[in-house]
Parts: sequence; C-alpha cells; structure tokens
Amino acid sequence: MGKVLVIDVAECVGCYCCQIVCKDEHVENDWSPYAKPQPDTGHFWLKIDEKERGTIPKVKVTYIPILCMHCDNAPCIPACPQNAIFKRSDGVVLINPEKCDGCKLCLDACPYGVIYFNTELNIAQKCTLCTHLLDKGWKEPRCVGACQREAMILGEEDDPKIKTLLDKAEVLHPEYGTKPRVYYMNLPKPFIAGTIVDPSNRECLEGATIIATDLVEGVKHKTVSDEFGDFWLKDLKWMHRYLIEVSKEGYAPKKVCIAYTDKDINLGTIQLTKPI
Amino acid sequence: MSFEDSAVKVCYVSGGLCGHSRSGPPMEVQVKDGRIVRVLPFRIPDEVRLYRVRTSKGEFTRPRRAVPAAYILAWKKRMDSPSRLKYPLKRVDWSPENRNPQNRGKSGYVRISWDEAIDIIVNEIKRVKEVYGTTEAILVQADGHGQSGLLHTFHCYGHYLFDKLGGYTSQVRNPDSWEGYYWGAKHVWGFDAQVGEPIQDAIFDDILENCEMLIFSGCDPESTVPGFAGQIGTIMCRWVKQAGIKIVGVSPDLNYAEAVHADKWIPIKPNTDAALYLAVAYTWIKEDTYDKKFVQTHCHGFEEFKKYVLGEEDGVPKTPEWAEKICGVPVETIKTLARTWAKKRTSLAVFFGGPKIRGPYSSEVARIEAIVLSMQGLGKPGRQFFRFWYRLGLGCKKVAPLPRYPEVDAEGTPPNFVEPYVYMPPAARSFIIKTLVPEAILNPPVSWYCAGSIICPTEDQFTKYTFPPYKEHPGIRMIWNENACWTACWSYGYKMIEALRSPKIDFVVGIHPWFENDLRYADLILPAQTIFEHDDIVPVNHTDIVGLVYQDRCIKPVGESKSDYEIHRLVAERLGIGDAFPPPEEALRRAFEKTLAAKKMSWEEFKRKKVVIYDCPTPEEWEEIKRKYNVKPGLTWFYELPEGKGLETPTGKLEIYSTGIAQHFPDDKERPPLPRYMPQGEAHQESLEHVRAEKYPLLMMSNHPKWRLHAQGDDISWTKEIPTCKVKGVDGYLYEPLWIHPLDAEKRGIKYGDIVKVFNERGAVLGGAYVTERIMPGVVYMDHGANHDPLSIEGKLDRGGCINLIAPPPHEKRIVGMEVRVPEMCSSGYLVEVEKVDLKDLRREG
Repeated sequence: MGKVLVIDVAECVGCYCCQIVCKDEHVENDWSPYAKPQPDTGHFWLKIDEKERGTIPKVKVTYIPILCMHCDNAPCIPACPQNAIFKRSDGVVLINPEKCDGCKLCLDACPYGVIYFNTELNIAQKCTLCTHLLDKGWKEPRCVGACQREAMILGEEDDPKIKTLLDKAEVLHPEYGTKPRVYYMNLPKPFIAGTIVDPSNRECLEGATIIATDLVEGVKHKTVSDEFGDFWLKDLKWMHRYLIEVSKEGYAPKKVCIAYTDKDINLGTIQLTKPI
Repeated sequence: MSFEDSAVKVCYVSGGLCGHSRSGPPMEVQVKDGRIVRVLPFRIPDEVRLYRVRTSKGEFTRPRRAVPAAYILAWKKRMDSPSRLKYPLKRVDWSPENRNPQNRGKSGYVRISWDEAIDIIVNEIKRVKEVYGTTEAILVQADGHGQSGLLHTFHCYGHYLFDKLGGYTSQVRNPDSWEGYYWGAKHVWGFDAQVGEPIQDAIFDDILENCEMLIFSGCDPESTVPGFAGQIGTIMCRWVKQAGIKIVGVSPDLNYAEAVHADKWIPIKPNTDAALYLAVAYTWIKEDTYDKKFVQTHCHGFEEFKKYVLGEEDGVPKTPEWAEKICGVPVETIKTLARTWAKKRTSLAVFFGGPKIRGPYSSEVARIEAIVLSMQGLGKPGRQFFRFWYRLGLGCKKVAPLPRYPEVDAEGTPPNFVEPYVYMPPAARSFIIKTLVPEAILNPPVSWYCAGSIICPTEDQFTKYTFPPYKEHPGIRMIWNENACWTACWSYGYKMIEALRSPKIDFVVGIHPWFENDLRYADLILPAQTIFEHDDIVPVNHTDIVGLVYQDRCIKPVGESKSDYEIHRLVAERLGIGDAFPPPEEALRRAFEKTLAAKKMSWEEFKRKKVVIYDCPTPEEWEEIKRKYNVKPGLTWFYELPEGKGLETPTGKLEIYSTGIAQHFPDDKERPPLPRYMPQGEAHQESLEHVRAEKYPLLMMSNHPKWRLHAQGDDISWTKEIPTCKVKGVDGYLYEPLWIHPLDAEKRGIKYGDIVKVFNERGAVLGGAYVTERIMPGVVYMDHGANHDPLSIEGKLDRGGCINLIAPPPHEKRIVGMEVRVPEMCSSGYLVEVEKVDLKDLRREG
C-alpha cells in the first residue's frame, strides 16, 4: 500500500502549469513541519524536462515532468547524517527542515537530481507531494490539480484502477535501483523517420515498406510510407543499431544505412529509382 | 477544494488578458491575512450542464476544471514585480515651463501626490484649449488588451472622457489580429462583422463529424488562446485527434501546437504562402481535381485567376517547380498536398492567422488562400475555414461555434458601455489609424483608406481619410496613453519612440500598473491596479462557456494605485463631468441588472453566490436551436445554395476577382483586382529577392508569444525560467529567445545561449540565441511583446528583445502628401541580419 503518481507523457503538451503552481504553493509560503518556503527562482521541485527531437522537418517535442520519485529505496535517507529525511507509511519521502543542517550530502546521493539547496535558509528541499494539503483532505497535490490535460494521477497502488495504469507504466532509470513511486506511461522511444520520393518525376512514394532490423536482437520493425512518402518507425529501443531497408514494387530496393538510436533520427529524403 | 483553514477566504478574479471587458474563466484565489496564499484553476460547478458536441464518432466535451495558462496562474507575481508603479510620478525635467521632450526615455521620475498629478492634467488640458483652440490636439491611445474585469481595467475610458469634454483625436485600433483577412480576404467573401473570416456558427458539428484533414496555417491553439480564454485550444486539439483528423502544419516554425499534435510539418518561408497556394491551384487545374461546378455557380472571376495560374497572363506558370524556389517546400510535397487536399475533406485551420496574416502584402496571401478554399467547394462537408473559435462575437452570425443557448450569448453577460469606442468606426471626426500614428505626429498630413476599425464595412476601404481632418487642426500636441504597448506590439516601435520624443508633443500621460514599454517616454505616470486590488464583475464571455462571477478584492491596493476607471473618474470630477462616471458599485449593479442572471437573482444575491455559469443546451436542444435559427455549420448554407449569391460582396459571390477593387483601384499594382503573389513593391521591400537581402539575408518571423499575452506578463520570474521564455546570457540578463537553425547559427559562429544582435536599417534589438530545429534555415524567430529595455535611444539599441521596434511601417516609402492605400500592420516576415555580440561593446547610455 502507499501512494503512487502516474504520469502519461503522451498527454503532456508542455503548458508548464505544474512547474508554475508548485512555485505558487511553495514560494513565500511556510508549510512547516512539511517544508519551508523555497526561493523565488532556481528551485524546481517539479521540473519539466523539455526534449526537442529529430531534425527539420521531422521534429517533435516531448515534455516529461520530473519530481522527487519518493523512492522506496531512497539513497537520500541513509545519506543524511542528521536523519532528517524519512519515509512515511504512505510512501512519501520528506526532509524535516528543522533537522536539516545544510550539509548537502542528500543532493549528491540523489541520482535523479531532484533535491535543491536553499542557500538563504541553508537547508535541502524537494517535492513534498503537497502532503501538507493531502493530510488536510485535498485530493491532489498542486501539480496534479493544475494539469491542463489531466495527464497526472495520484492514487493508491492497491487501487485496481491504478494497477491497470501501472501495468502500462515504467519508472525512469530503473537501473538506479531506488524503486520510485512515480511512474510514467508512454515514455519516449526513439523514432527513425524519413520521406520516400521518386526523384525522376518528383513524386512522393506512398506504400513503400520500411524495415528496421535490430542488429543485435534481430527484431524487425516494419512500417509503410503514407501519401506524403513519410514514415515514422516508432517503438524502437534507445542505443540500438538498426539496418534500414526500403522497398516498393517497381523500384530497386535500397539498403539506406545503419542508424544508431542514441538520439531520434531523421533520415531525410530517401530516393528510390526504377531498376534499369 | 476542501481545506480546514476557515481563515482562508476564496475570491474569484478575472483569468483573461483580452481586456475589453471580455474574460476567460476566473481564477480561484485563496487569501489569508491580507495576502494571496495560492491561485487555483476554476472548477465549473457540478450542477452546470456542459456542452456535448454529438457526432457519429462520439460526443466531445470539456473537463470541469478550467485550463488557465501558466502565466495567468502566476499573475499574482505582477502585484509586486520590480516594475510595479505605486505612486503618481512626474518626469524630473518636465514642467509646464520647461518640457524637455528630448529627454523622454532618459530622465528619471519623482513621486508626486494624486492632487498634484490631477492638477497638472487639468491645467494641461486647459492649456491645450487656450493655445491650440481645441482638445482635438489630444491623441487618446486607449484600445489595448489588458486585464479583463468588466469595469475597472478596461483600457478605453480616455475615449469616453475626452468625448464628454468636447473632442479629441482617436487612435483607431487597426484589425491587428486579422490584417490580411481584413485588407484582403474581405474582398473575396465579405464577413465584415467577423473581420474578414468566414462565420463559425456551429462549426464543430461539421469539423468533428466530417473533416479528414486540417491544414494548420497561422494556427497555434496552444499559444495565443490561453491568454484570452484559457488553454481551451488544447482541449479542442484533443477533440481533433480523437476524431481521427490528420493535422498538417504549414509554417516556418514548428509551433507549440504542431510540436505535439501535428502529423506532418511542412516548413515554409514567411510571406510565401501565396506561392504555395498558387502551385496547389495549378496542380488542381492541370489534374482537373477541383470543384468546377461550385466555381462556376458560386465564384466570380475564376477565368482570370486560371489564366494567371497557368501563366497565360504573365508568362510564368505557377507550377510546383516555380513555387519550390520561392517558398522552400519541395515539389513532391506541394503536389501531394494538392492531391490530398482535393481527395480528403480538408479544412484550413487558423488561430487568428498567426504570422502569415501579418506580413508584407498579407492581403494577397489571404485572398489567394480564400480562392484555393473556394476551388474545393467552400462549405462542403468538412471543407470550412476553421478558426478554433469559441464565442459568438467577432466570429459568428447567429449561434456560437459550440452548443450554447443564443439568449445566453445575447444577454448572459453585461455589455460595457465604452466598448464601441474600440471596435466600431470612430464617431469622432478627428482620428488616425493606429499603424500611421507616428507618421501623423511627425510628418503630417497623412492620408489613408479605411477608418481601420475592427468592425467596418469593406466599402470603407475605398474611402480616403486624412489627418489632420481640417486645415486649422493643430496636429497632435498631447498624448493620453492607456495602452502602454505601442512600442512593443505595433510595427516600427522606434518610429513611435521618435514621435513620443518629438518637440511637437508637449505632454504625455501614461496610465498603467507597471513601468514598461511606452511608459518609459511619459511625462506623467498614473499608477493603475491589478485585478487583485478591486471588486469587479468577471464577464466570462471570451471562452467556451458563458457566465459571470463576482470579483472580490483580494488585497489592499498597492501603494496609492487606483483602477483605470477610478483614475478617469477622478479626472472627470475635476473637470466638472464626474456624472459621466457613476460610482463603481452602481455601475456594476446596473450592468448586472441587464443580464439573464438578474432575472433569477438580485444584485445582493449575486454578490453572495459569486458564481453564475450558464447551462449549455443538450444535444437535442442544440439541434432544435439550429433548426429554429436556420443554421447550418460554417458555410454549409452557402455551399447548398443553388447559385451562390448570399455573401456580403457586390456580386454576392466569392469574388476571386474583386469587383470593388476593380471599380475603385483598377490600376493598383500592390492590391490589384486579381490577387497575385507579391514579393515586394513600393510599400514593402522585405523579400529575399530584393537587393536589401544582401545585407539582411534572414527573414524574421514573429508570432503571438507563448508565455505572455502580447506585451503582458513579461516580468514574471517563474515563467522566465522556462527555456522557450527567456535565455540567460553570460551576463545574467534574461534575453528574449531568438530561434535560429543550427546551419545559420554555425555560419555566424553562434551557439545556444550566446547574446545576439538582430538588426536592419531601422535599428537593433538583442536576444539570446535559441538554436533549434524548430525553425527553417533562412528564417529566425522572435516573439513580439518583450519589455523594451533601451541601451541607447539615439543609437536604437534595445536589450529587452522588443522585436517590433524594427518591424516595417505600413508603407516604406511614404512621403508627406502620399496616400497609404493599405495601411496594414507588418510585424512578421521582414529582412534582418543576426550577429553574435561582444559584451564589451554593450554600453548603456545616459
């Protein structure tokens, strides 16, 4: 049992309301014993990680809200020499502002980088999941309550409705081993995109087959170009190498390249020619 | 919201920045011990019936939670921002004896009392009458957007005040959100009351049911909408995606809506949309894939257009190959766009038309756009001009775009008695269209066509106006400025600064809550209030729901600030016409009593209840309403006419060849009877084909900003931490982002975060380089409205990134005595160069 936050990245349009209302709640407002005020600027207890992906004209922007993960295996807790950081029975991790002596070891310990230092008050600070409100009967933390797309849900992990969402969700950087309580649906997978054209008559080619073969795992990802000759191979894996091949009836098949998904890839215009 | 703290008071305040007494949903403000604790999105009460757009694909509605923009939620930061004005101020070296106009923008200010401030105003008005013989020497600039309470924050009372005093010169707000549609498209299809964009009655019934493809052109529902209406654009985009409609964005930039919603982005150079559209028309003609019958029965002048497109008129066939060289869209994409547009039920989507409609010769772009829409049968199922609009006014004829009771639209919210001054042709005989104000001050007389007011008959574009309107008129000698943003939001702000500093101007009054933009050049400054500082009514009528909400004062007024209404009332009282401004409580009560809500409750009951949001009709009732009012979505009614005579044009048809222009200006080369691709001419030389491009090889594209509403909200520290809002320079200053493609950046040795100078002959502004793939090579992008922060006034160097300072005037080569036929605003698509700046060279003058 315990609280979990589920965020659907596919819904996030980058309105930044969550980032802003977190400041609305915590700048110049003292919520002791949960948290003291954060400074006017420089802290992002919830921060939008904005990623521009691809190259012109195959460009997308993805926005991912990043906040304290309220980890079950939180490294900040043992890192604190003052025992100022603790985990509640509902899963929320808090820093006691009275006990914190400003040593900053928790900032170093947190692999997600979501702890911030308040130089004026000499204390470490982070997201409290607005427990000062939840404990008074509010249903949602401020960020969830301001989300224009209702992309964020706070719930109990035992709730069957939440469980269905958790089945489709994942955590950021599971390899850190911290067991976050913040889950993400539709985290971006790399895309490989392009446009298939016939240069001899300057036409877009619809219905070309594009196959990306994972050179290590052998899995083949297939798609078909649309009326504009465009294709987007999605649901690939980061840091994998793919052989890209294009074919269309009446044209010579083409091995385009080997693409490495350390970033999203725009293969540009791929020209197919008729066999001689 | 449940909370246990009974000491917390809940207040509702206006959540919109349109001003003009038109607000989006309110914000819920929680106040304790005299300070604002938090600001929450409004929640539409459960008992209110929401609209449901019923289609065969399902029903579309909105969430109960309002969707205010981030900067609206952060608006409380503006109460005490560093630029907040608290007291009346007088320029230290201005006095009636010694005015020192040359020091405007440089001198400091000294605090004075309200009594002294009003004394000065009263004496200056008296002096104007004595010295110049008429108060028509006073220019009233009072037509800007602003905070949106019904009464207190409306920028308009100057018109009313000086009208009561016996005369003034009115600055007539040109149709800045509609320019190309107004000066151009109106000649094709009329729609005067909708400012040149086709009506949107019940439009979602057709779009969501029938449309297969939306071309976003000048369309960013994730940007401008929020400042007016809340981010209802994001909900509408969700409907579009849920309805399975393909979104193709045609724009120089990958805008904020396209970045998350578009299925395809077609980058296009600014001002070249006409070439793209002509090539599309060419493809349809050659492949015989347009609605020939509709063109015959509903359009006038297609044969001439066809000749022009095929090259039979000028020897240049408007082929995709021709267009590719101009607009940068590949031939194959142009051809496919044309074929898909013909095959799929395609509508053109705009949100006010964006940069496309505000560039040089945008009248021609808009006309040609209207023609290509006509060629596919405008008004056929799924084939509309679609605005992403939500209210009746300025967009519809009989019923709203979304299901709503017509009586709610008509009487649900109170009218403001001074609204006509902003939208209608001026009753005053002395007026200047806003785009020509600097010229009218510096180099009169100025002649132009069309009064230029937002609502105006098309025929007025054939009527010539002159300022001054008669020989003895003294010209402009005093300025009453409630707008605060001509320099930041109109074109060629440096020219307006020159006008403000002219020795011809004896006295400039600025009324605003913050020291920004135009106020830097005022002699006397009167501090106005934010919406947190007075009771008012929130007229919820500039969004997808309608209602009214009582606005409680949240905090004590900051310093000695007074509301815009109270300031004018104070001046009026001193001038002996105080009766014209009833006490605020009385004005609000009287306004409330004119509404539908007043039929069910008294004013006192409303003040207690606070929130009235009107029900929307059920889907069945909506069908009944459409039947009763004889409404079919958008232009469906027009398409269904056997012979298309029903438009407000001279022939009643879609005028591909404009009969009005042919009659009045048959030889006009820059807005001819038959529209054409117009890269440059006498009025504008902003084309890459022009010799100026050798020195200024980049096209500046400018749009309605994402993180402000025009110039409003540039001082909010929290939004300025957002990467696309400001770029922090090495000097720590938060610069306005200048979007530049990596290829152009590399050529100039520019990296992300560098401080850059953007310039042309008109002057320069600084910006922070935002190197991105979201803008085409050859194009740079800077939103307008950043706060003007001069480094050198004579040297025309601004640090704030106030890009409109260097945007072109309506006519580049206007000389005294020459008439300006199309006094359009040109704030996007003009030539600039960009270079990295050495900090050592930056010096602040004065």
